[in-house]
Amino acid sequence: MRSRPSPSRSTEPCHRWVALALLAAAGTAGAQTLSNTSPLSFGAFTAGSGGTIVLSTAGARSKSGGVLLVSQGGAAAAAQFSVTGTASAVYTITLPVDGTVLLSDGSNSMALNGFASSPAGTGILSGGGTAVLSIGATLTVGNAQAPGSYTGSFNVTVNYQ
Amino acid sequence: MRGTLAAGALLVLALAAGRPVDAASAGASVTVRVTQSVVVQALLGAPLSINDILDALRAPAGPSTGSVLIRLAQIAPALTQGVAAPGFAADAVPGMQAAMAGALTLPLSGTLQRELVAAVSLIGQEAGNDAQPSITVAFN
Repeated sequence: MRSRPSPSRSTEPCHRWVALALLAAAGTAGAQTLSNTSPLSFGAFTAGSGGTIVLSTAGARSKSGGVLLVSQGGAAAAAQFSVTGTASAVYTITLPVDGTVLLSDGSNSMALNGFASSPAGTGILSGGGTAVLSIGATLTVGNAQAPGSYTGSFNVTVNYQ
Repeated sequence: MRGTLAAGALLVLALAAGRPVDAASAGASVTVRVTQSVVVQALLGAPLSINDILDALRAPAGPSTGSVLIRLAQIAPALTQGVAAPGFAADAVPGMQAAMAGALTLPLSGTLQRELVAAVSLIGQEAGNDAQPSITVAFN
């Protein structure tokens, strides 16, 4: 009469496979990240007859039209993102398309278009697997744009190749 | 045997899922402040802080405060001395026509110290001081 194999004998190898699987999953998942480290700030201005304000990826402002740039009320700064991943990995950058980002003070709005990044288009992580991504944009100001604090948000995506 | 096969399949799935992430997204906030233009009855030729101007403008009118011109004069006596400033930039100020006699402005950038402000008045002689002139404040 054959005895039935004990459960511990049949499941022991299975346990090993499961452990290997979990180790494999834990060892490599989630290695590539993108995180925002600094917001995009246009500082302050008076609207006048309206125009545009271009904030470069270096954080420098320039204006067109009747806008007057103001130093008081907050400094202008480009948005900063931290990119991490595999050393020397190449990634492409996807920015918001025009017409999709609005800043609002609750009742009035301004359009944010012309997003630009540095590096532009494609970036390469350092040997340590890190990079800094800077984002600028162009703000469209209406004639006699209502005074107030305007806020909004946007998303950036990086695709690793 | 069946359990071993299942565990093997699990390992394959785990390895596939554990590949480096192909894409990552993150959001950022955007802020900007639109400041108000200031309308005053004064010819401002000396720098003062924008907060001083706004405080004067917003202060309730009354016997102790008087007109905006007087309030500003109390804040910055130098304003009443008609200190002329070089570097007129009338056409650079939105809505401003040619500067009239006595109307002053300062360069819009590069020459004013931080936290200072200059302004341009459009008081018309025919309108007199009782009229509400438009005035554009230029900051740096």
